[in-house]
Order: sequence, then structure tokens, then C-alpha cells
Amino acid sequence: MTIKLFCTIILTAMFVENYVLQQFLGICPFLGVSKKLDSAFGMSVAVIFVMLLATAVTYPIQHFILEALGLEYMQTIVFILVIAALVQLVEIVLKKYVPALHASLGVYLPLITTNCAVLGVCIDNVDTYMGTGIFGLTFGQALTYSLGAGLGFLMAMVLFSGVRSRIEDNDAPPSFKGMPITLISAAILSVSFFGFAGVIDNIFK
Amino acid sequence: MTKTKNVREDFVKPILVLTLICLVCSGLLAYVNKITKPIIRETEERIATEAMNEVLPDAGGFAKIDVSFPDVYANGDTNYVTEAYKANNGNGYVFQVTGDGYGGKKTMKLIVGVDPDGKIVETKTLSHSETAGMGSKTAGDDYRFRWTGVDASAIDTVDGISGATFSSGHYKNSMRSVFDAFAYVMNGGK
Amino acid sequence: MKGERLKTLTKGIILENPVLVLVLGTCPTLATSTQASNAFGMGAAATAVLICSNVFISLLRRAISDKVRIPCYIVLIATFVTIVQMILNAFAYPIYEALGLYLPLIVVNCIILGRAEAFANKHGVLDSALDAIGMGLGFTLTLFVMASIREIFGNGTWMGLPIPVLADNHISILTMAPGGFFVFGCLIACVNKWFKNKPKKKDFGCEGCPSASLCQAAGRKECEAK
Repeated sequence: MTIKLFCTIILTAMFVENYVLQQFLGICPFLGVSKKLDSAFGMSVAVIFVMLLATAVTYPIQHFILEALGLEYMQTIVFILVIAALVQLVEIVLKKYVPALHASLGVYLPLITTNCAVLGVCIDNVDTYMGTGIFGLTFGQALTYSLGAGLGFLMAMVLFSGVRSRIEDNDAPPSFKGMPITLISAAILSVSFFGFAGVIDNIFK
Repeated sequence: MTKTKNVREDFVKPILVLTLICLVCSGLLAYVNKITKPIIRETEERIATEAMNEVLPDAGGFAKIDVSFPDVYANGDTNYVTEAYKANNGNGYVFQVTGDGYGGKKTMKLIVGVDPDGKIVETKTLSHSETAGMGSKTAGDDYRFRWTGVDASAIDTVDGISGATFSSGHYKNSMRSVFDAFAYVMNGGK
Repeated sequence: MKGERLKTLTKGIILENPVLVLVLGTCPTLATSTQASNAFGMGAAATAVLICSNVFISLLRRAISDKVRIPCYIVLIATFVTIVQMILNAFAYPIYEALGLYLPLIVVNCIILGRAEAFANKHGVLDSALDAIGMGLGFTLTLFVMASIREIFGNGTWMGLPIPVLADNHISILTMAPGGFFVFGCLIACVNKWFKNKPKKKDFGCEGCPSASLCQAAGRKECEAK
């Protein structure tokens, strides 16, 4: 894979097709865990980790087991089980061997099972017309795309936690306090990502 | 005694229940899949034919042309003619092309009917990710009918959409690749 | 008893509306509410899955032991989602196309796992079914209202039919990503305004989260941080 393609895929996944702000995947943690910068960061790192791992496992499963046996219809059930099992496994391994990391990331791991961004990226990667629009991503490209999607998630979380820490002290109308004002600021953040459509393609032309 | 009971309660029963649920669910899925698969295939075929009939009416059915087209590079875009069909009564050809769009590489999927003289009969956007309200107008009737009757020499006479210059440009590049593919087919795959 | 049943059925529509009050299932709500017809399809698909999963989990609640509860639920839910997917693909192809990726993602829709955890594994079959119908209705209704707003003002159409003046003067941004967040925020604000005497909702991100039982640690840490 050339550096150019690598950059294109990463930047496309991060900016143009940002999972949170453009595709509405992973909204629950985006709204729920973005109050504090450190928890937003911890959650995002855990998501990137699980996304990469899940892609590394589900991609071969799809190509060498499901498609080979004509069992494509089992995709959803197999993928979600793989993710759930992986999350559990990672938690156990971290707890046993890297307790320091477990202390900082461990609490976010179980939440990731129900994070649609992870399942979304796995399905996107094996689906031919999704994602970057490249027909049949290769294994390397799929991993790159996952990394980009994860970084995009991290960026959205970190940016938004900054926005939220300011909103906290603001005097919003009573009905708008809490969730509504948070969503409206998310809308404004999301507008800024429009600027990236078409840019990435033309940078690496 | 209590220990064996605990083992049974703690390990054997949960494992058994989970295995059973998995088995039953897989069986159920296999069964539903068996029923729906032929219907799904039929629906997909019908929809594909409908789109083809729309861009090339009165074709009396279509036969797939078995040639693989070279990728066409036009003004920085890469376009892929993915499928080509010949009308059974010789009324023309239908090409499916996937090209670049403003919303990303390989995001603009078009289907184009061409008559035997190389004039476009009609075009249709199958899927795109252009900006809503701007580039998405390339999928609208107003724009796609501008292409009716256009042949390879007249590509540049077709006006783009004001405010959606990039999307129109990408669309035009896809048309170029369709004409190339048409010439390729007429030349017997050369 | 009868009144209670009725309450189980109707609470999902406003008082405990899964989307607007409990703020669950936000991803599909935002993503599929660009067109009223899509929203209706999404709502119907999720409701069907919710009813099936609630009924079966309630039936099996004594057989499923606590330890393997979550994997069992996930397998059951994923099965129903796949079945709905295949049925839509076979009989309602346009909706299947429009919902795309969000159809398999019903599996991770928090409403479904949340109801399994919070209701179906503690109540009888009939109550669970009623709860599912109520929650499903609430979800579908909210999606439909939100999609109608976005489609009418953002695209100038409703259910695909053009609306006279608006068709030429639509606000495209409402159908795009920011519009989703914006309309959703405004809808929640409206509910906050008009249903002030609603029961105090649980704080979002901790106990309100359906994964709360999975991750008490996360819940505690988050709650302490507040």
C-alpha cells in the first residue's frame, strides 16, 4: 500500500466520513462519556484498540469462513458475538498482565460491546460499496480504515469534551438545559466537518 | 455433593443453555434464509432489469456482455465500467459505471443506455454521495435529461449545474468512460 | 391490574419515551430520520425485533442463568435482527436499501438490550410483550415526527410527496448530519417544556445506560466525577 493511499484512507475515515459527526455511529458514548476530557480520551483509546482488533478478527472470518461456506446471512450474529467475546478477552488479559492499563481503560471496555461504531466499522470493512468506496478493501486497507475511523472518534470526543466543559457553566434556557443544548452544540461541531468533503480527494490527486 | 451441584449449576447449565440457544437460532436462520434467498435473488434481478428498462426502453430483454473493460482515467478521475448489457433486439447497450464524485472516490454509480449509433438514450444515478441540494442535483431529472441524445463528440456541449461544478464534472467524466466502453464493445473488445 | 397493563403499554409513548426521555437508541434516530418513510421502516423493524426479543427473553428468563445472560440476549437479538433483515430484503427492497448499514446495527440499539435487562427478564410474557409494543410505538412515533420535520423543512417533501411552497425553499442542512442533532435537541427541549411533571429521569451515562449492569465500575467512576 502506498503512503498516498494510506493517508487518503485515514483522512477520509477521520474527516469526511467521521463516524460520529457525519454517520451517526457511536453517539451514545459521544454524548455519555464526553463530559470530562480524561474519560473521553480513555474511552476513545479503548475504542480504537477494539476497532483494530475486531477488524483483524472479523475480516478473515468473513472472507475465509462465511463467504467460503455461503453463510453471509450469519454476518450480524457472528460479528457481534466476536466483538463481545473480544471485549471480554481483552479485559481479562489486561487485568492479568497490564493492570496499569486496565485501571485506566478497563472501565470503558464493557461499554464498547454495545457501541455501534465498532460493529459499524467491521461491517463497513467487508462491505464492498461502503467506507471509502474502494471495491473489496484488502486486509491492510481494512485495518487502515479502522484506525482512521477510531482516530476520527477520538477527535470528535476530545473536541466535544472541550465544547461541553464550556457549556456546563452557560446559562441555557431551562428546557434546553442538559441534553438539548449538548445536541445543539454537537450540530454546530458537525457543521464544521462539512468543510472536508472533496478536500481530501483533491489533496492527494 | 454440594460441590458437584455447584459445578452443575455454575458451569454445565449455563454452557448447555447458551449452546442450545445458539443451535436453535442458527437453525432458525438457516430456515429463514432458505425461504427468502430465492425471493431476494428474484427481487434484485427485477430491480436491475427495471433500471435497465428505464434507461433503454423497448429492448426486449438484456444479455450480459462478457468483457472486462479497462479502467478509464479521465481528468484525474478513475472510472470503472462494471457491467455491460446488450439489448436482445439490437436496440442498444446498457452500461453500469462507478466513478469518482465530490463526496469521495468511487461513490457515483450510474447506469446509462446507449443506442446503436452511440447516442445516449437516458442516464440514471443508482447511488451517490454528493452534497444534498447541490451536487445531488446531478441525480435529478433536469440534469440527467440533458444527456439524452448526446454522443461522444458532443460531451462538452452539455452544460453543468451552476453551483455544482465539481459534481457535474465528475458526472461528465463518467460519461466519457461510457463512450469509451461503447467504442470498446463496438470494436469487439479492443 | 388492567389499568397497570395499560400503563405498561402506554408509558413508552411519552412518559418513558425511549428516545426523548431515556435518550436511548440515538444513532438510528439521528441517522434514519431524513425521510419519513425510512423512519417508519426503521421504527417498524426495531419494534418487530423488540417484541420478539422481549417475548423470548421473558419466556427463557428462568432457564438463562445470570452469568451467560448477556451472550444469550445478544444471540437472540442478533437472530431476530437477521430475520428482519432477510424479510425486508425479500419483500421491501427499497426500505432495505435505504436503511443499509443501520439495519444490522439494530443489534446494538440500546433500547432492545436495555428493555431486555430492565424489563423482560423480570416480568411475564404478556407484560413484556406490552412493554415492547409500547416502547416500539414510542420509538417509531418519535422517529416519524422527527423525520417528518426534517423531510418537510429540509427537502420540501413528505413521504416523498412535494409540498407546494417549501419544495422551492427548503433548508437542505436539516436533512444532513447537523440538522439531525439540531432537530433532536429541539424535540427533547419541547418534551422537557411540555411534560415538566414527568418522573425524574435517571442521569444519562450512568444508571440510565443499558450497559450499566455490565459495567458498574464505569458507572461509579462517571457518577463520582459529577
